[in-house]
Amino acid sequence: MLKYNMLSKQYKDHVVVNNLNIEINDKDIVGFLGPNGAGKTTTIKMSCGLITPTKGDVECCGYSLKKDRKQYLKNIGAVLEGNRNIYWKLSPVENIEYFAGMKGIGKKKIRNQMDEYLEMFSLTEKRNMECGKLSRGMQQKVAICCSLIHNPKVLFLDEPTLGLDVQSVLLIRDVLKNLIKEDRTMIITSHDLNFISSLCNRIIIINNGTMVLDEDIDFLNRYSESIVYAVEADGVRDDTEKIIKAKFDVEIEKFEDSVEFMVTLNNDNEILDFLNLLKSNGMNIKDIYKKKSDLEDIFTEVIGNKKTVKSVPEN
Amino acid sequence: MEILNIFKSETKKMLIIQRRYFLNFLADMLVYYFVFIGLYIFIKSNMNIMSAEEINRAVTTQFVGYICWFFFSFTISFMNNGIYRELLEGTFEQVCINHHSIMEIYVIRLIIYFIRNIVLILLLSLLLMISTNIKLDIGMDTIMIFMISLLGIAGFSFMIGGATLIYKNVGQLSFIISILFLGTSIVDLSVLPSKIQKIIYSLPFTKSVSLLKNIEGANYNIGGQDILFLFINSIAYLILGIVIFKLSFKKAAKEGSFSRF
Repeated sequence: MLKYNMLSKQYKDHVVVNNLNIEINDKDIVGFLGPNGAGKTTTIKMSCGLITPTKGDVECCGYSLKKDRKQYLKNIGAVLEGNRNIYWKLSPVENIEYFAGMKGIGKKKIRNQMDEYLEMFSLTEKRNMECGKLSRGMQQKVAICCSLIHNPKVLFLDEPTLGLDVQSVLLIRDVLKNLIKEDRTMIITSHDLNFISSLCNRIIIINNGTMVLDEDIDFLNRYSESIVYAVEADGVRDDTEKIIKAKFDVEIEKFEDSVEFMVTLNNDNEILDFLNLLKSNGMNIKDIYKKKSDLEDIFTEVIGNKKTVKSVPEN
Repeated sequence: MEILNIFKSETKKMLIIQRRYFLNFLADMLVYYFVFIGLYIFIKSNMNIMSAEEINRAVTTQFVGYICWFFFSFTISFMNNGIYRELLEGTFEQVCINHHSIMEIYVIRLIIYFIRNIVLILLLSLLLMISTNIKLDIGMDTIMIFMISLLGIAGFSFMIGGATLIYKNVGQLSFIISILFLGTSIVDLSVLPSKIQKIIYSLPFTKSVSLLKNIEGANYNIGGQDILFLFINSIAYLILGIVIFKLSFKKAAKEGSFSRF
């Protein structure tokens, strides 16, 4: 459905996006994550034809952005970060009719679809109110409606919850969950990891313009189900280290006067065996706690390069 | 059919926004009306040594120059104001995500704007003619010159639009051009050195305003040479304007600067 081929963007000597090669399948809901300045918005804008890539191309539904720009742009819609995306002096109905008209679609053709979206997005009562008088959350919903009215195959949402309060975020999430039922491919960027993990079936993380993780949500669920304990002891000898690593899946971090073991276990009972092994090798246990991994942990580990995220085998 | 739908959408949006900013629009029109009335009173009260016919000719040529300045000035600043406002409002990028090129969309917007301005100047002219008792004889010559000039003005507008895409806030540039144009519309250019005259006459509005003033004020019969010069001049500006706009759009897209203002 959407394919990035060696997509790159460089401004003078600063590489913002570096050789992105991604294939996004039909009906994928992709969470596109990364720290500030990672290149997420630049990638989204290149995908929308707003920024010219330095190298590479994007394809949507078989159409190349470079060679078949018209056909490509017919198949995408976008709600961009930091932009209003709609005209505040127009009402929701006027905005939707305007953007439909701009795509060459007449009012009569979109009437039913528009009423359906207004109903779905709980905008029916405010349909004739100037958008400037609506709440930020409602304005964002109108922007999503406008981006969908021409029935694009792929929808880009760049930080759709930016600046919204908790209630508005939940409303947008519910709206997007309804859209998922429409079997549309969506690419969503957000710093709200809970929001992303509740909606997406696939996570792509980029850092410094390069993709560092591309996994489906099942991987993340397996990762978060894995049992990891952090154990702090007073020190470890090299020969003991070898014994421990031979018996357990463990990562060791040494400090001046202590050592931390991150041990991955199959069940909670195994921690007793691990602790007994440490004690039998003369180590004193200082601290122990159970670590629960979630998307935030994966993100922090991948971005901070503290450790590589291990693929957890499928059951 | 798609182009027609774009026309309808843009026209409807223009009318809705005009209605919602009606007071602002009304104030603008009143300003233009009273500025001309002031000019008219000044001419009348300071030229009492001239004959009635000479005064009438002077007033008529000023009237024509003023109305042309009003129309052309609005049109020249249209691209700058329109693009810059959309950049500030955060809708420009949304307009660009369209299988119709930005060029097509802005040509349609410009045509709608032309039609709107023609209606406005007809109303303004009617009001001024009633207020000042000026009589204008609008013949085919006048209409032809006006229509040919529109091409050059459109080209100039696209040049300003291109500058806006790159440099964002170029409102002062439009203002300077507008003032320059007002000067050339009101002042008798024959008093300027010939080299300066040649430069000024190469601009897309000067020749047309001069011809219109002569037709209305001095019953001048335009010749084929006048029309040919005006046509070539206007087409040259139109082509140059379109090229500059397209190149500017490409440059701004390369720089990724559409969201900056």
